[in-house]
Amino acid sequence: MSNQQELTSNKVAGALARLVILLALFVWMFRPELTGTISNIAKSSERVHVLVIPLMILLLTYHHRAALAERLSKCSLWGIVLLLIGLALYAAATWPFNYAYVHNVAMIPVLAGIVLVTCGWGVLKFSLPMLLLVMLAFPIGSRIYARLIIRPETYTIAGSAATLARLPGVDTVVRGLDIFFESDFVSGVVALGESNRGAKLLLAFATIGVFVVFSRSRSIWRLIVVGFAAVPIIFFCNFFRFFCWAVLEIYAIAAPAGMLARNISTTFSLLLAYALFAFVSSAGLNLFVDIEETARSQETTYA
Amino acid sequence: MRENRNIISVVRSLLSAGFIFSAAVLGIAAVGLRPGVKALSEYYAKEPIEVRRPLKEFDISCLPSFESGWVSSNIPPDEIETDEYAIIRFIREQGEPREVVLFVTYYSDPRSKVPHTPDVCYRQGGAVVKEMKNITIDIPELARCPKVKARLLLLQQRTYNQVVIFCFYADGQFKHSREQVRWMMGKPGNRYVYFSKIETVSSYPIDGSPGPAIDICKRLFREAVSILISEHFPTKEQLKR
Repeated sequence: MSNQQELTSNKVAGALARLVILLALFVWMFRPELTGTISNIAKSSERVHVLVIPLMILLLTYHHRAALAERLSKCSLWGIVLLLIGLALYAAATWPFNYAYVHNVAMIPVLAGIVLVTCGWGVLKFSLPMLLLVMLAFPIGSRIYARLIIRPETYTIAGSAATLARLPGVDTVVRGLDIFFESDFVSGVVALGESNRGAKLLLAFATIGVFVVFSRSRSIWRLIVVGFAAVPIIFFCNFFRFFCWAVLEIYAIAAPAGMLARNISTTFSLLLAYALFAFVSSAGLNLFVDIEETARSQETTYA
Repeated sequence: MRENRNIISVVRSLLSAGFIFSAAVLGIAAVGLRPGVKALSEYYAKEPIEVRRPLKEFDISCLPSFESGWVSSNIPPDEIETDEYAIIRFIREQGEPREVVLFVTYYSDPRSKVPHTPDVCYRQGGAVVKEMKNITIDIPELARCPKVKARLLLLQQRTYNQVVIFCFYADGQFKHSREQVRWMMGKPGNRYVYFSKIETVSSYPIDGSPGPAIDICKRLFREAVSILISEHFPTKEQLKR
């Protein structure tokens, strides 16, 4: 092993040792929030994507390991500032204000501070997608979420009802959050018995998007374009799930489709989200390709 | 030999000032931050405060626009998580709209959750939101705050449309969202805490204009708010004692 390689390997080992120790302290500090996030997974299918987020973070880290090792630099004391900001946010969200979501979000600056203090700015920049994934794991309070989704949910339900009404022999009426339908074969209701029924998986679609987009090195222009496309893609997938569900309900003539319709439409919509994000982040437009190839070849060189 | 060098290098990296300080900060926070903040929150915990006059004694004869031509009746509450409320329906024989409802709830437990707002709960009941926006209602009777920002909703029910105007009154200030009320409840300063939701509801035909229903809701809101503040809700001075 050459001296240069030995030096790099020592640097990586040192950074990893520091990172592991600080992350252990982080888990100790935030154990109630972390256990709360994990226990929420079982309470709602809305949160199931949280199960795969740790795996996604590990995969992204593994995939970019060479670039991360190359970017290891001197630790920055700004990391301590971020740590203190996160802890202050946590304290303020306990008293005087009481916001469970902010408790969780306070983990993000603390995590960023840990990365900065152990690995430096270069690694922090590469870790931003992982931090974004961590943020998407936190449940938004049910009452806040119910208020935030009013417009998307209303438009999704109205859009689905209008599209369904174009199908031959199908009439639809929207009442509250449900679509009542009548077709030549059957009549019934779509979406009965599910909270946030018109906007249930928005965070799951966003999680898929972040993972797909950052699974490779992309140019900044590509990221900007994907950033703009992300919101329409997420809402389209949400609409697609709802529409598929309704179609299955309407045409499951023999017996009510029940959970099967919901599960099939959810699976299709998640696959669609994957496909759309993969397309937008990889479509071979000349604007991006050259820069991305350069970035990738650099990464290969480091590896 | 090389392994020793590697171990020495790793140990040396653990002795950097930045790392030691960060570890100390996180360690101290893990041990002391939660109990410390909890102790502070208990020491400065706000207390409930009663209304000056129960809302059940709300004097409808003080509503000038509803004195004559309207018949009022109380409506039993449905899951409102408080005993302090006034739900009054006003009906008239002539003129449109025929009906308007005043719905006031008062909460003073610092642990109370701010209730769902009508934009959320009416939808659960089968309504479709047609429009929602902030509006300003002039209440000249209020010397401190003659312009009140409230929330206007137009809802579509199965056979008719509805107008809802609502806002919160928290610790002597008008707020039009749940988050603003939560902020007020947490804000340090006062010893006591309360908040109230004030809502007026009317209806109009599916193919009709919402104008008259909005006007009647605004009028009831305006007249009720000035009575609630002058006779029922605690004063700002009472909160500080």
